[in-house]
Amino acid sequence: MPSLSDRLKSLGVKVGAQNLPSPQVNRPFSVENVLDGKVIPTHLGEAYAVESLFPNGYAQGSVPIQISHPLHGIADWIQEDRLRETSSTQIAFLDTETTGLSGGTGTYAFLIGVGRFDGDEFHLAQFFMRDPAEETGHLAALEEFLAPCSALVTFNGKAFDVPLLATRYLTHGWRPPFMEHIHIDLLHLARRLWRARLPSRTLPNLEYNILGALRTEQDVPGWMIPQLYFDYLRSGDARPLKSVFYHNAMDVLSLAALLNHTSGILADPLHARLEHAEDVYSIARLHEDGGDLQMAIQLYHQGLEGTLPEDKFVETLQRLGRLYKRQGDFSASIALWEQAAQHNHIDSHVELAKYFEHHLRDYESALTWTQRALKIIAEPGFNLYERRYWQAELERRLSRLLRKLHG
Amino acid sequence: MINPDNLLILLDHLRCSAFELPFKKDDRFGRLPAEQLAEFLQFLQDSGSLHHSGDQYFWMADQYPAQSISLRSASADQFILQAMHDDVPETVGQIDRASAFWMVHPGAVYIHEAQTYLVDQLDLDHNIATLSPIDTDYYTEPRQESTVSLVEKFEEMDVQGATKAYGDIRLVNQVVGFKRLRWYTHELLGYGEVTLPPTELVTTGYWVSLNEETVDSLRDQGLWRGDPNAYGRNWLRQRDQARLRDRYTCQICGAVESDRAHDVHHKIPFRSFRDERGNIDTNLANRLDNLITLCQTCHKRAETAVRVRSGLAGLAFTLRHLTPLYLMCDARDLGVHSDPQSPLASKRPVIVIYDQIPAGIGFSQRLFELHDEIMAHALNLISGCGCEDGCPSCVGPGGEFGAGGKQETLAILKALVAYNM
Repeated sequence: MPSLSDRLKSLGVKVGAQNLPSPQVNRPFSVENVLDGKVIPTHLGEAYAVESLFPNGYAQGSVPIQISHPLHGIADWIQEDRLRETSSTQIAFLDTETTGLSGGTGTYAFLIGVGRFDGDEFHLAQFFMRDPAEETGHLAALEEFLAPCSALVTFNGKAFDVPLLATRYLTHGWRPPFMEHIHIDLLHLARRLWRARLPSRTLPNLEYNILGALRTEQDVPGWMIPQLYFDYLRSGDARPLKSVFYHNAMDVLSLAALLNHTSGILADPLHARLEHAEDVYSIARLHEDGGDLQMAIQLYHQGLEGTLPEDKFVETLQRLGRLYKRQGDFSASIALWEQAAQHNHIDSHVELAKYFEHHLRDYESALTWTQRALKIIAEPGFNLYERRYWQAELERRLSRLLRKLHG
Repeated sequence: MINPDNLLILLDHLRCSAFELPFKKDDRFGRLPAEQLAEFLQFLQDSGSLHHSGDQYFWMADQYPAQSISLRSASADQFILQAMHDDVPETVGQIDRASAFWMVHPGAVYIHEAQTYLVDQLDLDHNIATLSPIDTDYYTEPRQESTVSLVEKFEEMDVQGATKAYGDIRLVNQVVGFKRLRWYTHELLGYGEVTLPPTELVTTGYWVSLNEETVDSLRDQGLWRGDPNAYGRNWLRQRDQARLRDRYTCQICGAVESDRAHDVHHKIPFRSFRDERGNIDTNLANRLDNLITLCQTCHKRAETAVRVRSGLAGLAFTLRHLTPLYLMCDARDLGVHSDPQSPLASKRPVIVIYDQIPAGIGFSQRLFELHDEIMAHALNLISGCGCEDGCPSCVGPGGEFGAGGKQETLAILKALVAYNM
């Protein structure tokens, strides 16, 4: 009888690596010898953690790690009133390194970096699962560390870190210790704030572009991390893991700096003295979507005073025009739409046509705006799908106007 | 019906289970023996998916194993079907590797969501079949050549007139060409050639091998078609005369003989000249106007068009359509192969029915158990059929000039069924 592996191969199973060595004990380069951590006893077995303290005022790039602004702007954004009463010492910054990036039950959080403010210092603990058999202690230690906290700050934690950790607790039959916590996922906020300006909103990108921090060569790209852990489990050699600890520490520190930065902007956006007009535009949209129209109008005006790229400039004119229209201030709207129309903005043409047709019953002017719009969309470079969309709408308007004009 | 112990299905199940919860030392899995489970866990550890620590096996791979399981077939090796619309490819579907060779070979007509496509290219390196949406008045049917060999016999038992067995077999299959057939009338419009590497399928099969006694009795009745033809004493002369008359040129494609003598083909099959006593008038059968010179390729085609259906082939046809009813499966889930001199049973005549699924999913064992019932049913079906000599409802249709093989098939079944009903 051929071996199982040969039988599977003859059935076309692509087995890949074969006959990998069994896990080994590597004493000279064990975790304990390579990393500067300590064993933490828990009621469910041992855990292992590397802890570091950062003094008050320590900066990640140009942004200090502290809570220097009131959090009401953030509280508005996440619609969570409890955050207004939360002190900085109750906030935990959390980031996990896992054995898989796609998630699912069989994915372990082998390194959990979590930081909180403790007196004057920022206390970072990195809980490391030396072996999957140690997971109960690993999770119990995290639970103890999180005990004083009632809020979590993560980057994509709503979709990734928190459900993954919750599954780990549930697998062992325990209640996850953070289900009632306030959760600030900075990824979502970062997307809203910097979508207009930055092509990528990953944490390392924000670190570089927003915080002005640069990682050293010690860093490792996220996609390599699971394999480094698998290699460690096989070889027992913990040295390559140092880069994973560095990566994780940087992530947690950046979370703290990023919360400080964004809470500052949201606390008083009009006086945040933002360098980039795109950011002003983004914050204006954030307030428009949140229903604070007065703030949005002021911010859009502030954006128009800066240097916006053409598409954002035109969009700002159009949005501002619509906000004024909602308030019944048509003269302000008309001026903005006419300005936008000069930039061939179709939506503004339509708004003008509507205004002349329905409010002033000036069908000639409405016809002129409609025809101008039809001419613009017929130009060769115009986007095909947008043309199809506008074509139907504009032609309907055109025939109605012609009917009204010529009976 | 699914056999949960099919190696491929089992491997994927174990991967998914290990992903959900670590295996512990004395864990069981279905009806899998403990030592075999241990062998699988070791395999998964050796290939880097599991980490053994303490008495547990932890999933340690950056994979989501359920994702690599295909619900359409046991193997996850998929080809994508790309239809070209104005040079822009659009993926219209997927097909597993084994099916790709015979369903989307170059030149095949493939039907997907009521649209007919012509296959332009089958890229075996990148698992892509390129199709063009096109309206055709024909469909295609692949021509395949298969050989079967034994891997391991699980069980064998002597039965009435034969021996039944089941076990692992290796099927080497090659798509060598295809027929173009007109829609609705099934009129043969022509042939196409295909150059594709052979594919190998290791699966489980059930086979019946006729014993010496049965074959002898069929021979005595003049109903055995498995022996090589003896064309009679005048054959060599007549053959050479036919080639000379046809100027050593294939009368279909016009190819002239080069390093190999062309074949000479009986327009009306030689076997059809058999009289009631089983004797053949060779002067009549081998007369020059019944002979035609054909190159080897054209000859093969002519043979498939004018088929003299042997009893073995007739029985294979019947079983192909009968067995799915017992197994509650699709006819395409099974493959049927007949061979008058099979390597499965020391050159004895064999009919083998196999699972069209790598490693098999349990059909073969079931057929082995149902042998008597199925043969009796087949005999009943054919003897009760009102056709003269073969039709699609029993042993399959005979060719235009061919013989249907109904009588021959019945003779085999009578030898295989203990109590004729």
